Amino acid sequence: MTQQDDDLDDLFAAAAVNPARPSDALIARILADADALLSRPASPAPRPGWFATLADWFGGGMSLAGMSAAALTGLYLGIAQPVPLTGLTELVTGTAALDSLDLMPSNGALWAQE
Amino acid sequence: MPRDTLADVSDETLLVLYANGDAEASRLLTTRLAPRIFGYALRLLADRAEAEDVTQETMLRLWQQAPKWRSGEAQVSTWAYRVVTNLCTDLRRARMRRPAVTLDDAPEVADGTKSALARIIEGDRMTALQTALSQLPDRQRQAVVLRHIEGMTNPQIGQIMEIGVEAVESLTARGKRTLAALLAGQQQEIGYDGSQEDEA
Repeated sequence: MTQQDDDLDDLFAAAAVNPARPSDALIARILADADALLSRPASPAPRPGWFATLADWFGGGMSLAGMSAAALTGLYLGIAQPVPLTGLTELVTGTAALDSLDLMPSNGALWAQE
Repeated sequence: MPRDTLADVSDETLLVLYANGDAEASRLLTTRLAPRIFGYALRLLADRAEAEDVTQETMLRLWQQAPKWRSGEAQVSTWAYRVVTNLCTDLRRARMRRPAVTLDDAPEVADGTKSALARIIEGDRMTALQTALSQLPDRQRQAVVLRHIEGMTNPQIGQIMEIGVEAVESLTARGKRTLAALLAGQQQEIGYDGSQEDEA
């Protein structure tokens, strides 16, 4: 510690105990700002977009995603007509020839080989 | 809420109360914070009008921040000091870019002892200290004022200035050395010895 430091610390101490005071006008302006913000009505919530509205109708975004996936899968099956489903489709729509549908395949072929 | 009930409430709680519509909380918070940040801004800017503008702007941002205030992230006073620090830095940069174009500006630039600050801080010693502080680089001045006049700890200063504690120590040490050298030239007027012979 030097005399120089002591002198400087004395100056700092004197400055600390004699703070400048804000004017009454400044305090009034600050409080007016605070009151103005308090009295300002809360801004209305932004309107939800069409997608959010649609999602709400179906119980949220996850439900809408599930329904979309199911719809796309159905569309694919309808267009592609995979072979394993063709028989089932004909059965459901009544266009299948029932005598040609082998619901219980015969095991006769196995015996014939012996 | 009555003022007496709020006397022991923390700054953060007052801010939450204000956000919930309690006007009395804003009055108490203003009483606590405004003098401190005004004094700090005045030390950094040495211009009363600018210091008042900075104080008002800081408090306005605090009111706007109130509904979004995240508890426990920072002390309200630390946040306010940080805003003041940044606003003052911006103002001083703008001041350096702005030429003195009016007759009103010229005397203030030419003679710091006749500034607005000289009229509000009594005594030659305080004026000399402020004049010397004004000659420090921005970061050194901020660190010295926060440490030695506002009485903050180095970690608090680090939070306000968004730097590490070691950087704070370096800035305050360099700032004090520069101040001592500046004030040594005015030892007759302010009773400042400035000698370095009495090593402890």
